[in-house]
Amino acid sequence: MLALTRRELVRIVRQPSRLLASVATPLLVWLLLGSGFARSFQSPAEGSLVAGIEYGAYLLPGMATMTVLFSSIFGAMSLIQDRHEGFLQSVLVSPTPRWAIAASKLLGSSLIATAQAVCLLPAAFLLGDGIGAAGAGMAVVALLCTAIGIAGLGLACAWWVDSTQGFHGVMNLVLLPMWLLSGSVFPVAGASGWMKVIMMANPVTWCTAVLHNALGHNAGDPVVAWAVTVGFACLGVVLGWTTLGRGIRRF
Amino acid sequence: MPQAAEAAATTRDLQPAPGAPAMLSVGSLARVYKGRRGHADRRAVDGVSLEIARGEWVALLGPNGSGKSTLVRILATLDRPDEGRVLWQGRDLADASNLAAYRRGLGVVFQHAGLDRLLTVRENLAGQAALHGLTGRGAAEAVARVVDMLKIGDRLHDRVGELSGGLARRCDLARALLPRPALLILDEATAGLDHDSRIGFLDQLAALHESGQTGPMTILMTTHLMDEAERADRVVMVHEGRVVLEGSPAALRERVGGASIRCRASSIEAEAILSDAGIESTIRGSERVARVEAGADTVARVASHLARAGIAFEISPPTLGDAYLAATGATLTDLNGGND
Repeated sequence: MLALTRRELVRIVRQPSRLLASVATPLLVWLLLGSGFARSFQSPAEGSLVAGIEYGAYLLPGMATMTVLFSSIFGAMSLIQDRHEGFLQSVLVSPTPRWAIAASKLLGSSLIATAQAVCLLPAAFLLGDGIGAAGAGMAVVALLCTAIGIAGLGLACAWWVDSTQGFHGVMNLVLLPMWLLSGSVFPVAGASGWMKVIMMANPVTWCTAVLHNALGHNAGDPVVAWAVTVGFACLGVVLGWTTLGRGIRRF
Repeated sequence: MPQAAEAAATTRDLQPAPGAPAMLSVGSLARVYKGRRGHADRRAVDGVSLEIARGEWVALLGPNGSGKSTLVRILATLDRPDEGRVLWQGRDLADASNLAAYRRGLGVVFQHAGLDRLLTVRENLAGQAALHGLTGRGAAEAVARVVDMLKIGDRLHDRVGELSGGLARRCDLARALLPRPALLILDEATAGLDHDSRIGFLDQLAALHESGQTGPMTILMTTHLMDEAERADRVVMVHEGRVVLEGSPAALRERVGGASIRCRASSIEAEAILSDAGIESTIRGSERVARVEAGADTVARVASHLARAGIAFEISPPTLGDAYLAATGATLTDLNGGND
């Protein structure tokens, strides 16, 4: 299992452009959205209209969420490449148990995604938010849980989709709304009725809430947020396991 | 199943001793792909029965689409049959408890190298060794053994993506040999290689076959190339998912008898000469090809007429391709598409 996880880590190091893009993209989006919308969410009388904090500060956890979503889904997408290039077959005919193969793929993708998202957290200091050791620990665990959940979903999807183009289509259809409706860009409280329901049902919303709480923003009941976030990770594990374990026809 | 039983194998010495189970025993195996949108189901493998003795080198010969790769996917445990069963040394692979033990002694080389192109040769081999439960000193020794065997020591630190096709194939073979497999399965393993690389790869395979740890290594390979199949102890010809003929290459050729005449031109004149001698001919590419079932006199007469007409030609003994054609009415280059 460690051999396959190590492989995932070595692969990302050998693709510096992918590494750079995965960190630089959310930073750029944060800068552009944060600067662009900052004045729009300010009222001369009431100050900030977004959860009582600067919009840039509000947006930061959402950027970490975005990083972890897209990075872990890209990790899962490598399953398609592994299948096309023959690597997956060589793994599947080895005596390594299927659960170990699924676990290593989940762990590798999730560790990479979490590490990339964590790179954004020091930016909190720039905003004067700061983040203590406990907050940082909470943020890392929440990001890891989200990464595992998304990677599990991604593996289940990548198993049945035969091309990376097709996977991109599914990813855009599912992942982008999932992020937009996670409280990353605008708070749940300000959303309209039907949208609020969708946002509350979105597991990524609760991960973003944990990140907000870690940064000292008030973003809802932490117990519920943690329960959903950990539950989402469990769902990812089950999906990854059943996909690689039962998703192929075997004896 | 035409004449299958009659083509006697000449590898009697490779058959298991009475009572000893075969390395692999396949019984009435079938794999059916469901038809989509009103199309009929397709039986990619259709009632295949096959025994492979310990130490035997068997070639599954057939064109693309004949069902070879589907059969190999089942034997490599990547797919499961809809009907029939596979016994490995007498143990049923339908029983999940036998799978891990089977895979521990199995090496598979696929059409696409099972290596990570971003990793070095050493990293790939070490990773694959770990998948077979080899770590630390055991892994280092296993890697050193296959590196030495396949003479790839000078490229250990190169990334696989930087290697030539032939070298990448050798590294992939090294990967498959890491667990000292009792059974090595190769699925069109020379696909995409140039002639010299292909011959080199086959020579290496022949050497490995002879130098197995406990007697010759058992090899099952699929191919649509006659010269590759000629290397095997036994050739199993597959057509439309069925085994149509099997035996040693020599026995199969001998069974066909006669000779082949290949005219370098597909002219009407060549056809007329062959036709006058009562020989039917077909055009393959730029050549006119005919099978002569009659005796040496007819061959000599036709040769004389072709020479007088100034038509370049070649007379050759029957090939495995002729045997395949005689058994199935199809050539080895027929492309049927779909899952092979």
